[in-house]
Amino acid sequence: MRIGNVSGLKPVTPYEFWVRVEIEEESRLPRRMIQIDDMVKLSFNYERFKEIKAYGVVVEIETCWDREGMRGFEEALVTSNKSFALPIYLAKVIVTRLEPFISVPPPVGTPVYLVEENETDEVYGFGPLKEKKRALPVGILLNGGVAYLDLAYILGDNGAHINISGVSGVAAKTSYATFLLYSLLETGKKLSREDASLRSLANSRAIIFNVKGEGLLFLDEWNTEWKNNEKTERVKEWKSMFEKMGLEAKPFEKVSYYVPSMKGDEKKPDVYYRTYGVKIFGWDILDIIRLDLLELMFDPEELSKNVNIQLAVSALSDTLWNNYKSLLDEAEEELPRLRDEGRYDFDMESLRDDDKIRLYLMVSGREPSDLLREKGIPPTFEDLISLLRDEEFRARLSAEEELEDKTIKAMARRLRAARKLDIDRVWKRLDLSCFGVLNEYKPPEYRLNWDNSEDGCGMITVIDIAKLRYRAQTFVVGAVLKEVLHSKESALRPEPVFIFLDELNKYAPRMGGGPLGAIFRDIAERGRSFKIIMIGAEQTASEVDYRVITQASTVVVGHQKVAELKKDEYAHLIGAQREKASTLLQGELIVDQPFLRVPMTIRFPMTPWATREDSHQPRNSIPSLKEFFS
Amino acid sequence: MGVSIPQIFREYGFYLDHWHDPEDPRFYHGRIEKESRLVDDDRFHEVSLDPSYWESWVRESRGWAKPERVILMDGVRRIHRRLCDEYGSAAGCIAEIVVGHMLWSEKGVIPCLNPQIRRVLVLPTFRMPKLKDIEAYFPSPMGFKFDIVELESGGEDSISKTVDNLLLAEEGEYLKKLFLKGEAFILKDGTMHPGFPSFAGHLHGPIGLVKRVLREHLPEDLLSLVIKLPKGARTPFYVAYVREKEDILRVMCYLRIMDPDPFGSPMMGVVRLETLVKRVDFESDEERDRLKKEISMAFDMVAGFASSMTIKGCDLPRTPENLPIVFSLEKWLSSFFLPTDCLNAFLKGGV
Repeated sequence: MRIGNVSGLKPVTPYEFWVRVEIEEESRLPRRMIQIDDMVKLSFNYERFKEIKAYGVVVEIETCWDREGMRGFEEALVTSNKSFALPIYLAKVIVTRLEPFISVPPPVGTPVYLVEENETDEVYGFGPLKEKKRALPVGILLNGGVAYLDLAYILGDNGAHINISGVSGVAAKTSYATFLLYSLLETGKKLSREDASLRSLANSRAIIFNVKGEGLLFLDEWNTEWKNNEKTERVKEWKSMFEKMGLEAKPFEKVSYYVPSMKGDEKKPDVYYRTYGVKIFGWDILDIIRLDLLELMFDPEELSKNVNIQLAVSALSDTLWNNYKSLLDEAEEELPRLRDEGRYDFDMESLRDDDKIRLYLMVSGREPSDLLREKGIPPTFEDLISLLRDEEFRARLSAEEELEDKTIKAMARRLRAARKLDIDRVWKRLDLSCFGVLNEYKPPEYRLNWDNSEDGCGMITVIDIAKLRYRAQTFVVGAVLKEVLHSKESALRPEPVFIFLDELNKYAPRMGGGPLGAIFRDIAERGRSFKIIMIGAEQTASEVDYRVITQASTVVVGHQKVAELKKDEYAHLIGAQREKASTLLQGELIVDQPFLRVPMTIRFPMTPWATREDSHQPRNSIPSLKEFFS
Repeated sequence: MGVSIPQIFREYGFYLDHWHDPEDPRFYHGRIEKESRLVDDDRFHEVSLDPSYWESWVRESRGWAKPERVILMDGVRRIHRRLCDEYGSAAGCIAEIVVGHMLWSEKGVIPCLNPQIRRVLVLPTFRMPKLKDIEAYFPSPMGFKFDIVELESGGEDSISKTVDNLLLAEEGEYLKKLFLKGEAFILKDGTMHPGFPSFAGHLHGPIGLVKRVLREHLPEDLLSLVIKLPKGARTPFYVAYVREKEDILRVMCYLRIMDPDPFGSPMMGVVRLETLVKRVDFESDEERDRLKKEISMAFDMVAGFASSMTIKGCDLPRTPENLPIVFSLEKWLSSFFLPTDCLNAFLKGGV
């Protein structure tokens, strides 16, 4: 459908031009009005070249009276029918594609047409992505066509990481992050059927941190908005959006949920709504030493400012690590003998180092806690504080690391304070009871089994940190990131791991991120090589660590405040898109990737899985009394 | 058959007058008509020409309805370049004439998208018989064609006079076409010349709106009444002979469309409405009475319409007499002129 002509009233370049929209004679309104993000096409030729087809996206629209120097009273005359002036509608188009790619501007006056749904692929160059099996459906464009992103910019081949920003409640960041994950997993399955080399994507793992209420603890259950309104137009539209994208509309499958324990009761999960199918997570002293998590128990800001405390923590970690290594050496030496003695009966070589120690503690015949204490490893949080109170230990630490005694005491005081901040809820005491011959090694129940799908655990692991206090939250996030990084570093497996974390600015702030900030920077910069993909979300991208945010190849912007949109982090939005971002509705987002010349405005459907604790419908719900009697 | 403009210049020794002061680049203001003074023997009038009677007539309350649709018609002309002959005398010009209209209704204003455009090369053709009945053109990609028109005699003013007369002729032609279509009431900007269509009823017009009126036309006692007219009021009409062509009569009245500024001329805001009638129609008493009634209604309608088309504080050129809508029509029509710089480029390239 023709909308107008290339205008010569503004400069025309090979990469951008303005369209003068055709006006109806009588109404003086455009015959076919266009809007920001509409897609257009045109074709032209110069004698030297063959026909050139150009595609583009409208990024700005302006209208004014088509009369130079028109003043207010003249306009009043026109609007009161006492004079006449023609309005002019001009739309700025950014050229997204030239076919063939010859950098010449379209001639002024060239007719410009609106792109219909079936030609969308031409505008953004989705065709080659589909051919290379790298097209990830991410939403629906304004003209009804499907929007795709390039998997190569998500999975680390060309770039990695996704960042989603937008104000809370309107931008639907969490819903969209889960939608992207769903699309990644489902598209992975589909693509692996077409091309075996893409199987790794189908075997992806995802870790989701639940930071608000219990909203993300029902991803495997239907959203009541879907189930209760199945015959409504809204749900039909959502279904059709899923169909267009080639995705099946259903809740996630294979999801495992981990929640912290109640304070003071290690065995009782701290849940209110999700009272079934949850496991308690935590880390014991061996995990803490192995993953070097001690520093995460301290105030990151103080660690950044107080070098003495920083040194003391580092020294304590080193000491514990040395003790750990010494115990590991002993375990590796003793375990073959203990097997010969019939204490256990399986091959322990495949076990991780910390599991070897656990096995050793189980079968050594000694009280595990005593053995640990003997080796200078505190089995509990209280033991760690006691260890720091021990004068002999302090003296040794002072001597070895040249620390002042008062610094070590200060470190002990801070650890005591950390206990009040829920660190004790995630520090698990070693539970290593063993009777008779051990035929099989079972890892601790509180271990996050994010990487295992064989025993029924899911591809998605949801970790609830909403009910923990800030210090414990940062500890959990840091511990999980380190765990994943260690795991991927030790075994270069091709399966990607997606990690979704909301409120990224809290964990990787622009200023003073401490040890956790360093972990995020490490993941952002090196994670791509190990296929660790961060999906970070935050209200304001300008408050996130610069090195973290700039590593995200895929940037998503939802409804955002005008003041925030003026920051450099949103410079990728072209023309009126910055202003538009402040008016986006729920379910509308602007998505950008390096292969796109113009970010895309997309809509995505309401998710069929619940993203709020009050909107879920269990798969096998208990029938109501009415249903029961019918 | 055609000949290129540079070719004519070379062959006949014309050159561009670089002393020519380009006119207002947008449009031509029009000349002041020479008006005949109202004389006692002008026989036909709406009411007595007695000033006291006029005064009481003006004070009467008159319910003036506005027409539903009004066609406003106007013409503009531009002399792009003046030409001199080998002796340095002004010998012709390159000019354009655009005539068109706008349709006004309560719903909005719609301009004509295809105005009548005439491009002329005015030359003393009596000295150049070879150029009779042929077209001139610019050797440009657009190939705009120009009619070769004979320069009228008339001394120094002959070039303007020739172009003005061409404009009048074009306006007359255009007015006839509009008149035949009969789509709406026609209000023409400027005086009604002999040859223009005659009055055809209060629903059709055409009525001419003369913006610049001379004080000398009216006797002093009637002039003082015109000056005192309140906004929206008109004088009774009267009839004057068109001297040049006595079978046509010009019916006229004065109208105030805007109260004058305290520091402005007392005639500010006063316009004259005109229409033409055939003398023969005024000969019969019955037909004359019917026509007088129709003309009266038409003038009343125009008075209602024109006085509602102004606003206070409007400082467009020549307002309030030049209605803003007419101003916008002139601007619209002027936008169809060839850009002077473009035309100069053709000339410089070819001459």
